[in-house]
Amino acid sequence: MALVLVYPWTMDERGPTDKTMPRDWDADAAGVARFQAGDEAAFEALVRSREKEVYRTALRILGDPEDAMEASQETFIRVFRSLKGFRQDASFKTWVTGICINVCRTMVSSSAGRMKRRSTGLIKESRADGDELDPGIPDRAPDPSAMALGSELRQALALALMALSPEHREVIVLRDIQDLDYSQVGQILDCPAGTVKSRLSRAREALRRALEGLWP
Amino acid sequence: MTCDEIRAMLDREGGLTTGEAQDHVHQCPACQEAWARWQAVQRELRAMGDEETPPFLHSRLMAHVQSAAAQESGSGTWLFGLKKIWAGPVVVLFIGLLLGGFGLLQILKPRAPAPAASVAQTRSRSEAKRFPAESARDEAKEVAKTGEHPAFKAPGPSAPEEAKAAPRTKPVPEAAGGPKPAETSSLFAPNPSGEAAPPESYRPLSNRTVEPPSREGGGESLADPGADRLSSSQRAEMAAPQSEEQAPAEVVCTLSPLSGPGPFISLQLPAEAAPPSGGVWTLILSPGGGLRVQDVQGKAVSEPGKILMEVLHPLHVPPGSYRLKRIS
Repeated sequence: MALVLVYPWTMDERGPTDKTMPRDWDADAAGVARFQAGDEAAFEALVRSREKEVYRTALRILGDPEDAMEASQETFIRVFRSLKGFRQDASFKTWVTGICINVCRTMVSSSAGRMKRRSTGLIKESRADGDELDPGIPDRAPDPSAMALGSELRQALALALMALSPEHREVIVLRDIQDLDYSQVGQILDCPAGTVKSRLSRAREALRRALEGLWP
Repeated sequence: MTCDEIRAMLDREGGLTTGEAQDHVHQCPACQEAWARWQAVQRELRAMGDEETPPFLHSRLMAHVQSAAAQESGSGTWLFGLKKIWAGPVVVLFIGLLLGGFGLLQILKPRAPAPAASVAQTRSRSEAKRFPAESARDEAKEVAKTGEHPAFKAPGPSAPEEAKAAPRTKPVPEAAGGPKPAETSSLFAPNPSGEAAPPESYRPLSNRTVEPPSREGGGESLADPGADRLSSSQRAEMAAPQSEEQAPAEVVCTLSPLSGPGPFISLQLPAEAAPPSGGVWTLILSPGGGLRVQDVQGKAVSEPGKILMEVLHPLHVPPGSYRLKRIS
């Protein structure tokens, strides 16, 4: 309860939907408590509550549905192994997302992950401040979901995201796509909120520049 | 405020957070377009957070997690749910097999004797009438074990020593089926009225007061437990045949001291070794172990002597004169 009371959802400009966070947190916390008390059936409910977020996060960071599924599976395996010792210092959502980010980092850095990437025209952009887009970006065909939606902007955004460095991509995904607040993003990325803000600013600028060539 | 500052604010703050910036955007078409693009990108990014996920995402995730956990359980580290899920049924199955095996063992092995008190209480009057001679023999044996009465007090070994010798000296097979120590009866204790109970007062075992043996009185467990159990089981199994085959050939008699008041014992004797119905014989046991049988006229009866010796010997009846009366 103390964690709920000090939960800093007012730290930034988040909207009214943020008021649902404590309720989600309470539900997750209850599920975690039940699991830690020996009710392993509670794990399935926890997976159900966070599986879509995990998959979407992995998809936007890895850029490939198969990789995203693999990362999601590995994420929940790790969650399952570690949940008994989870002390709930952070919310379950934050904790799971952090595990997902770590899994994605491992897959991005692995040679297998790189081998699976398809080249569809490298988008490489240099910036005046020296920040360079990921030279090993997984340039790939447009996201099937974006194609299905027929959204030109969605397709352009998918490509632009994959053109960003993993560091920038992570912060864009967590803040602008998953709608986490600075504090949560800081917990996940293990950095202060100020660092998150500055990194996010640079990531948005990089994304805007990347979009200039993709979305007229 | 410049156009670059507006873009930097959008990147940094995610919106136009000051009035000055809003005024600039209203006046600058390029910044209006940049602001509109920014809003569209932000909407699309948020929409990415709600896009469809693959079908059966949950099933696939759970199957993968369970599979991984099952693999780990193979190495003995952990098992997703299965260990605790199967622990209960396995334990129940094990207990069931254990109980089933125990029950089967109980069925297959000879039936253990019921506690003496319950035997005495559950025997009905009719059952006692069906086996009066056997009951009498059991009681007589108990008297021999606890024999405290002066009239039957053996001059030789003490009661415990007799008890030790009793199983070894049982010549009659039926004698091995003596009652359990708990059935030790006080029939041979002095009658409170000081008179010997008349033979007609013989009552079935179920109507008697059965008391546990008194250790002070030498009523130790004298009979061989194994012999007890075997005899009881045999008795239980052979109850029906005995009632049908042996009952007509045996009669019940009482044996009491010839002179003076005293207790009596009931004996189940073959008909040829008992007096005629309602008749009385006199038995004279000599210190040397000899037995002489006389009828009411003092005429010697020689035929039943051997059978009576076989019956009386394991009872350790002390030498003296006794009256053997047939009551059935």
